[in-house]
Amino acid sequence: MFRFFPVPGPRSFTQQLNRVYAGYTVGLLCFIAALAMLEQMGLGKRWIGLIFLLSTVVLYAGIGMLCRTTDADEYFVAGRRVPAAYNGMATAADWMSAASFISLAGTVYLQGYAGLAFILGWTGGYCLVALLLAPYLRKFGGYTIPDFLGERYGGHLARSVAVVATVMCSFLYVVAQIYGVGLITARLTGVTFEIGIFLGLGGVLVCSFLGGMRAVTWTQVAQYIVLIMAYLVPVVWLSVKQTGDLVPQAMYGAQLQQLSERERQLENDPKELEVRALFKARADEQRARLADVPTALAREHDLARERVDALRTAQASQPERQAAERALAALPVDEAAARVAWTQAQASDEARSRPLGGMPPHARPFAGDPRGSEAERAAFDDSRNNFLALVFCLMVGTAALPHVLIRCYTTPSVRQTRQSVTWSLVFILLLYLSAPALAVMVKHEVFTSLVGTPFDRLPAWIAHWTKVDPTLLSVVDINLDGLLQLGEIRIGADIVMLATPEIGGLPYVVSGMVAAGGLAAALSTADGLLLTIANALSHDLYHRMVDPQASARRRVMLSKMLLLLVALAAAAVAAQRPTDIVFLVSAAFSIAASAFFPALVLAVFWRRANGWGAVCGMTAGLALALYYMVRNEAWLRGVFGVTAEPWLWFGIQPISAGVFGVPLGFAVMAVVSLLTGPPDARAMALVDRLRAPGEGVPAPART
Amino acid sequence: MHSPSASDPPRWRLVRAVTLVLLAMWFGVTFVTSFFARDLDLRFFGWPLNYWIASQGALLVFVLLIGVHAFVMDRIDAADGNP
Repeated sequence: MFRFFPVPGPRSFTQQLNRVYAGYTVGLLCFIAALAMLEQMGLGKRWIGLIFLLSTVVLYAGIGMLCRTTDADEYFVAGRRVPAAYNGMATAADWMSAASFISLAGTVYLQGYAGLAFILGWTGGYCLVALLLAPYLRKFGGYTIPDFLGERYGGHLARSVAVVATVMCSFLYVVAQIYGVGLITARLTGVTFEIGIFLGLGGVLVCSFLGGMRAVTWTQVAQYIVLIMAYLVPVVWLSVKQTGDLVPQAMYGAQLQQLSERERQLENDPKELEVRALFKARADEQRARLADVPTALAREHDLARERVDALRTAQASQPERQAAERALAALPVDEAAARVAWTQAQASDEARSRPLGGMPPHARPFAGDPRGSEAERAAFDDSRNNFLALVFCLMVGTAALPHVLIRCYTTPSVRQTRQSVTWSLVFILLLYLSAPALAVMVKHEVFTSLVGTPFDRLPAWIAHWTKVDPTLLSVVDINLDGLLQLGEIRIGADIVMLATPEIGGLPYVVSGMVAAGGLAAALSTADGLLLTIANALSHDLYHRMVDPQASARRRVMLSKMLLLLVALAAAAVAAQRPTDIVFLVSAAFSIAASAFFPALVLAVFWRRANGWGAVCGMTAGLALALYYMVRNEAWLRGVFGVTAEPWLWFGIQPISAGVFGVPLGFAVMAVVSLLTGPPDARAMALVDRLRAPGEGVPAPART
Repeated sequence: MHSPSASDPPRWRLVRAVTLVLLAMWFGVTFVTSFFARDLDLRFFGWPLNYWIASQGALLVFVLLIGVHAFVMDRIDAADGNP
């Protein structure tokens, strides 16, 4: 790996890696122990968070420096000598983003069974990768995904479409990651969001800028170790504290059962009903205001002003007058702002007027009732269709995201690629089996211990997180009984993971570790994505299409420059806080699935597929997915100024646009391929080579 | 995937059959079980079966499918004299 290593055969290379990473893990544990000791000696929380984040970023940058390279094979595919298990670990880190690490458990907490769509979708996609793509991509042995499509489908057109789609989906995804980096650093260290973004960006850049795929690979392995430790330690600890079990993943069935019973109790609890009625009244109030916004807004302003004047003439106390003035200042300034604010408030109050604070019973699949009234049957079908569509999009998207697929190029052989995909999924499952367990444990804690606690005796973590960010967690005693009801807590998805160490009563150093884990997850994915974009532009656009004579050194230089530009552009977009992370990520999946999946699969499994078919299929799938999202998704509608009514097909949400794009892509590709001539002899020879046994491009001899 | 034709080498037909069988199992464990999730409301070692499948069972089957694929493909390659 590092240049100061001795250079014998592959077996001892793996042994060296084992030694290096075992040493690294021990070092990491010592570092955590040292920080824990410093915490005991009175080091402040903010310092611990800051030391953790900075030292891990410096560590990743250090690995990047050690692996710096200008050799093309090293820069683009890490020299094709990453052993299967290590490639699996790197893929797992590449794959698991800030969304997996921070939001997944919370999504399952809030949505119950519906949240499992993400668990299923983000793991099952690996079956498609392993069965349909990975071994064939490795046998092809190129540098990028557009490279593969360009060779198979001949001509620059297929390559250009692939470059466009690669850049589009990877850019959306990288914006979401950098956004996540900003949020994590801002929340845990108190620096501003924008500084957080550039801090994280520095770590990403030093690493991928200097060493390309080689540096990214070895950093991702290091990042995987950080993130999986940071996830499992608090989960196991919470489980030991709650039930005494060391393996919560296998044992939380009993808690799920208790939780379901508790849910039934709370649904009919008189106090909860009282809270729900109060929220219902608030929602009705908002609806009345929304019916005539100008009048209502004028009245609100008048009332608030009157109150300020009344308090002033009555010479009320300073804080009382200030509160009234703040209330006046907080009113929406114009009609449009009022409409937005009140619509949001109405939706939120409406949700909280439903049972369990708007959350469905945790273990029940789908909403509605297949044997109930017509409305209930419709709700059931709608919810089931959307669940299946989302699972489909996430799975197919997994098997089409270029930054995951290029990791198939980096192993020494086809055989190791197949093993590496198995390893990837094993490493991913360590986290994905834990997330639903964590969701149930935290929910159990909230539903049984927290609900009914007097407001003045709430645990400290509630006050702490409410202060950090009220959208993450807020509590309000709406029925003024001094006790916390379930309906009075509002929880954002991210809090479930972020607050777990405190809920479990762990020292703050573990919270710092969780932050470092979230950062590792976001950075490792951002690294892979930036590299994918830069390589597609420098290798496919420049080298293959503009200047085929360009030297390897020049291409690597160009890729580095592009990497810098793309990273800065992504940071600039993320600093605008465009929309929520989950939508950005899911949109990237639908785009990748619609554009790439048909062309990639048919490249190997259908000899007759030709260039025209691929170009038309990719374009049609991509266009349909984009159209459906722009037409129906609130944020995109705003960006593109769409005024036409939303138009949902079969009630499918825009997040799952790929469910239409992928079949259309297949259909168009088949029809156009059959209408035009068969592919040329070169493409046929490539298909035969991909299907033949044996190895593709071997790993180059070590120099 | 088109129907097998005589011109395909036997090895490729075998590979395709293996892929197809594993894909069918993948489809069954993801989409068929999810589609009938509401009806699978049984107890399974203290778990609601439908919830257990979507949060753990299916995931373990995925690993198994990929592992079996890697193993079988190794055997097929070995039979062709490509260790």
